[in-house]
Formats: sequence, structure tokens, C-alpha cells
Amino acid sequence: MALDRRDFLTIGGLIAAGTALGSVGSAFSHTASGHEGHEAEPAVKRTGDRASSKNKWGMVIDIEKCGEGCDACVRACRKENNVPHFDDPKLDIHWIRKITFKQKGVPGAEERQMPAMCFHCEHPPCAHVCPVAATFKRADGIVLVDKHRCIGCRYCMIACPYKARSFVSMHVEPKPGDNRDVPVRMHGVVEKCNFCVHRIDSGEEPACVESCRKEGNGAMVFGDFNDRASKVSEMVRTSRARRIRPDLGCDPQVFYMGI
Amino acid sequence: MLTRAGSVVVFLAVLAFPFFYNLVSTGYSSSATAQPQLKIAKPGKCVEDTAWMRKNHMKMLIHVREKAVREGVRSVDHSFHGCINCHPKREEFCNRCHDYVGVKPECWNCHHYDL
Ligand code: HEC
Ligand code: HEC
Ligand code: HEC
Repeated sequence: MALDRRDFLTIGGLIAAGTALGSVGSAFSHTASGHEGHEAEPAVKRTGDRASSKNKWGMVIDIEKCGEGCDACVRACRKENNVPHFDDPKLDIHWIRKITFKQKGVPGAEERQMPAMCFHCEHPPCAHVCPVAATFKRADGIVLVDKHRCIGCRYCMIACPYKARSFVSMHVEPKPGDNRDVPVRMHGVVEKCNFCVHRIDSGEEPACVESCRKEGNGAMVFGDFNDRASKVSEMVRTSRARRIRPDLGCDPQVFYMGI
Repeated sequence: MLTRAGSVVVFLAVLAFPFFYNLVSTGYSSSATAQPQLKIAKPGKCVEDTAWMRKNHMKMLIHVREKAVREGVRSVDHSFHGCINCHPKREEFCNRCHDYVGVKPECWNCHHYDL
């Protein structure tokens, strides 16, 4: 059979229309099945079976609620990610820490506390300087260290303005009580908070946020900034949630209320 | 006095001594040349064809890991979680081959896998 130009265009048009309709249909069936699949709505719902730019994970932390001396988030993080404890504070590995600060230039300002971790910047300077592309930003905005690639050069530690990164400066033996779902570490790599990426991928919120709600004061909220109906989006829209040092231009995805 | 031909014979005999010694003392099935004995804890099928796995499991693991770490595509049975499930002890499975061929994957420095 020989196609003339008119037939060819007609068939092409029909195929294009069919494809478009098909994808619309599957989009509808996707949202439908997404809702009936689970009885309890998972805390974190990612789109599809892979990291996708349809999500943009981030956090809002209300410092007014963050309790003095409470370290539920820090403990939960250490437990979840098998973060070891070194006695020398210069060598200690921290994924999340409580920092104490005092407003500058405000007479009579009192000391306050807040948790700080990797802020998963929109424009991460750490990823920019990494010579082996070990640090990278995943499609859903999480900044990760691929420990398989890291050569331990520590450029990223210098580049990060928020001091979020630690270097594994000595050998660490896996312990019996470790969380076996999370691999441990090796001397000579750099590591940092990864928003508990293994938990996000299985529909759970980060360990610090969960323990802050359960054991702490519920100061931390995690969610999807691309979803306008999510709690974090609403908080950023309606309150005075702010980034730390916005002038640096890294655009952190962790916002603070009450500073 | 040895003739020239005689000295060649002696030289060859000395040269070939290890070969004959090995043949007499151990036969061909010495432990050094025996195939590694693998213990299959859960008989059945591997995640891929057995012959393919024997040849390609290292490439497959690297592929799975790039997918998981970089793209967030988590596989349950093709990653270490799967291997551990069906081959629970490294000492009885993975290491028997690896010791035989002399490879030492550095994966276990970070990944939990019982000896
Ligand atoms: C569902 C259970 C199961 C899982 C998961 C599994 N295996 Fe296997 N594997 C088996 C079985 C059973 C055999 C033996 C098959 C046979 O005898 O034909 C086998 C055979 C093999 C062999 C070939 C051994 C030989 O005889 O030469 C290799 C290599 C291997 N597995 C590696 C792996 C690795 C690496 C993983 C993790 C990615 C893995 N397997 C995951 C069940 C499993
Ligand atoms: C049938 C024998 C056999 C078994 C069983 C086996 N391996 Fe291997 N494995 C090999 C060989 C041979 C190599 C080296 C290949 C090379 O040098 O290219 C290798 C290499 C590897 C490598 C890459 C090492 C490197 O440094 O590049 C990994 C990772 C690996 N194996 C994981 C496993 C795991 C996990 C298991 C157990 C679940 C397993 N292997 C079981 C034969 C085996
Ligand atoms: C420096 C520590 C380190 C070493 C060494 C290491 N890994 Fe990993 N690996 C990790 C970490 C950390 C993760 C988790 C990343 C994540 O969850 O996003 C991981 C994740 C993985 C995954 C994906 C697990 C999943 O959830 O599906 C695979 C597969 C993997 N590694 C394979 C390997 C292999 C094969 C080797 C050896 C050749 C190896 N790794 C060596 C630290 C290491």
C-alpha cells in the first residue's frame, strides 16, 4: 500500500491525538489508584516510583515551639542513620545539631536554640564544587552524597556556608544495634543529612520530624513545596517563615519561623 | 662424565620436577584447583538466570546502585536486601567464590552483610 501525503498526515494526526488522550487517561487513573491504595495516608507521598521533579521536599521549623534542652531530633537521627559518636568535637559527625544563637544588635536579646541540618539548597554550592559529581541534587530537590563516588577531598565542606557536612576521619566498626536498613560509613568520605532519603522513598517522613512530633514539641514539619495544599506550603505562604542567610543565594529548602 | 645429551635430559627432568611431584602427591583434584563449594540456603531460582548471575552480578549490583542512589528507583530483590534474604551468609556463598578468585569487594565496609 502506498500512502499519499494526505493519508500520511491524517494517520499521524490520529496517532498524536490517541497518545495525548491515552496519557490524560492514565493521569486520571493514576490519581484515582493513588488514593484508594492505602487506608492510612502515608506521611510522605512521592509521585511515581522514582525521584521526580514533581516533588520538592522541604521543611519548616518553628523555633518558638522548639524546646530548650530537647534533643529528640538529634537522638532519632543518630539512631536511624547509625551516626557514630566521637568524643573530640572537632571530629564528631553531625547530621543534625542544636545550635544556640542570640539576635545581633537587639538589646536584652535572649539565647535561643534551634535545630540545623543540611538545608538542601536549590542552588547547592557543595554540588557545584564536587570534582567527581558525588554530591548532586536529586530530581526531587534532595541534595545527596553518593558515598560510592566520594573521594574525600572536602571541597564541599569548604563550599557549604551552613557547616552541614562532616568528614569521617577514622575507621568506624558497624555495631550490633545498628539500623541494618542503612549502610554505615567508611574512613575518608564526607557525609551529611539526606532527609532520610530511604524513608522518603518508602513513604515515611524523616526520623527527626517523626520524633519531634512524638517525643518533642512538634516544631518540625516536613512536606512537598510543589503541592500547594501541603502543610509546609501553607506555612510558608501564610506565616513569616524565613530562610537563614537568604543573601547567600543558595535558596535553602528549610525555613524557620520565629527568627 | 655426562654427555651433552645426558645433561639436557637431567636439565629437563629438574625443570619438570614440580609437575611430576604435583601429579604424584595430590593428583589433579587438589584443593587448590577444586571448584568453590557454594551453599544455597534457599533452593529455587536466583533473581536472574544462574549462569548470567555468575558472570554479571557485579555489574548488576553497580547498575542497581546507580539507579537507587541517583534516581531513587529502589529494588528490593536485586539489591543487597535481596541477596541477604536468599544468601544469608557471606562466608558460605559470596566469599567462597571471591576468595577463590581473589577479589575483595569493599562493599561490606559500609553495607551490613553477615559473614
Ligand atoms: C529469591 C532468592 C534469591 C535472591 C533474592 C538472590 N539469589 Fe542468587 N541464587 C539463588 C538460588 C536459589 C541460586 C542457585 C540457583 C541454581 O542452583 O541454579 C542462586 C545462585 C546465585 C549465583 C550463582 C551461583 C553459582 O552456582 O555459580 C550467584 C553469583 C548469585 N546467586 C548471586 C546473587 C546476588 C549477587 C544476589 C543479590 C542481588 C542474589 N543472588 C539474590 C537465590 C537468590
Ligand atoms: C560463582 C562465584 C561467585 C559468587 C557465588 C559470588 N561472586 Fe561476586 N564475584 C565473582 C567474581 C569471579 C568476581 C570478580 C569479577 C572481576 O574481577 O571482574 C566477583 C566480583 C564481585 C563484585 C565486584 C568487586 C569489585 O571490586 O569490583 C561484587 C560487588 C560482588 N562480586 C558481589 C557479590 C555478592 C554480594 C555475592 C553474594 C550474594 C557474590 N558476589 C557471590 C564471583 C562470585
Ligand atoms: C562508603 C560506604 C559505602 C561503600 C563502600 C559501598 N556503599 Fe553502597 N551504599 C552506601 C550508602 C550510604 C547507600 C545508601 C544510599 C541511599 O540510601 O540513598 C548505599 C546504597 C547502595 C545500594 C542501593 C541500596 C538500595 O536501597 O537499593 C546498592 C545496590 C549499593 N549501595 C551497592 C554497593 C556495592 C555493590 C558496593 C561495593 C562495590 C557498595 N555499595 C559499597 C554506602 C556505601
